[in-house]
Amino acid sequence: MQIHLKSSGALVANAVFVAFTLCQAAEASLLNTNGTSVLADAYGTATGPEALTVSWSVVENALDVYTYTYVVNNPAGDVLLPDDQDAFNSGAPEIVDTYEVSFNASASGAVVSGPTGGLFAESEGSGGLFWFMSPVAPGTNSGTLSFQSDDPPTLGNASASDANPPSPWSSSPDGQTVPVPMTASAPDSLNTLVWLAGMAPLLALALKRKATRP
Amino acid sequence: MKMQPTTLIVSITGAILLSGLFSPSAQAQTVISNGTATLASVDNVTADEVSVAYTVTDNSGLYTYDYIVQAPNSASVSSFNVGFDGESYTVVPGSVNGGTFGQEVTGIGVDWLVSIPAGGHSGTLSFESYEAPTVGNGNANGNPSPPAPWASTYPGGEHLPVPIPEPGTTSLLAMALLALPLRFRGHKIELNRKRN
Repeated sequence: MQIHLKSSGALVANAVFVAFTLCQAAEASLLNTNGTSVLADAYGTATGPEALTVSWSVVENALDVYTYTYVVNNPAGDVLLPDDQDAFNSGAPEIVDTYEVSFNASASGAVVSGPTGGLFAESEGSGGLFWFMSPVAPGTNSGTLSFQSDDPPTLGNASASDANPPSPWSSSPDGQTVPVPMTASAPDSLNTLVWLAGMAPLLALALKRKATRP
Repeated sequence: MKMQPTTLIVSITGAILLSGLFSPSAQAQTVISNGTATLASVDNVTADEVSVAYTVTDNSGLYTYDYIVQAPNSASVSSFNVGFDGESYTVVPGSVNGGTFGQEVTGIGVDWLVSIPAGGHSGTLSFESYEAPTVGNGNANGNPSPPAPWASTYPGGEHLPVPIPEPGTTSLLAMALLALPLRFRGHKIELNRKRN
């Protein structure tokens, strides 16, 4: 039986997809994970009181809906730092009042409920979700910022800001990522690896056919 | 009552200082600062920068600070802040305008919640103050990151006019106030010497 290259490609891709889906389905327990990520300040500092920490959790319910929560912690001892032009009143307490997470929030199922928390919470479409908060003073936190999604987590960027240095804070390039929904338009590295693994035999087959062609 | 010349000079100086503080002189409305500043993006890409057009108008000692924020084509902007570096300042109560929501945070600055799509710009974001402009920091945040957030502090970023009291003016006022007791003390010594 001769299999056309196009149909064999679809076959392998489907096989890879089915294997990946079955692998996920085989996990009997519902996802319940939590942790902490650091957002580095504008000067790249990712330790000590100048860096923000985000406590996060992702909890899956029986309907396979994932609840994402974030709590932005402003460490005690966070103070204003001087920049190159103005060094007034360094040492005054530093606050934080915005937080965002980046993923394609406009993708189908990416956000099925929320966002909630803060003074204002809104979707920025393909950019992600944004929260505007009451000033979070050093030694306090933002309270729970959350939303629900049909999509399981992958890792994405987050950032926070105030008006004065060392604001703003961010995952990129010196901080850590936080969990965000794995949307169709933003494949994670695992999906990409699986896809590439599936494509490798096809590529080899195509090259072999080309080499043996008279 | 007979007043000594030195006492008179000190009184007049004090009156001038106080009049400068509490009674703004009559002036016409004048644009005293007008320009554009760049808030650099966290990824340090020029095309990802946020641009802020600003104007400061002096209306007889009452300064109006106006900002218009331009988002890059690569991201939406959801907040804009100007910072006062923790210094005491005077934002006229109720004068923060523009955006979906605006708030002043005592000693910190003024924050606006805005809704600027990629490539778009805000309306005028403004407040009033009795402090003349000096330079300060601006920050913005939005989605996605990178290129958000944006800041004066990042390499290539620029400062904005904000009402932070000039250290020179503050120091001068402090020195003048400190000099008053010394001046009175010197006057007292002179009187005692004359009596003796």
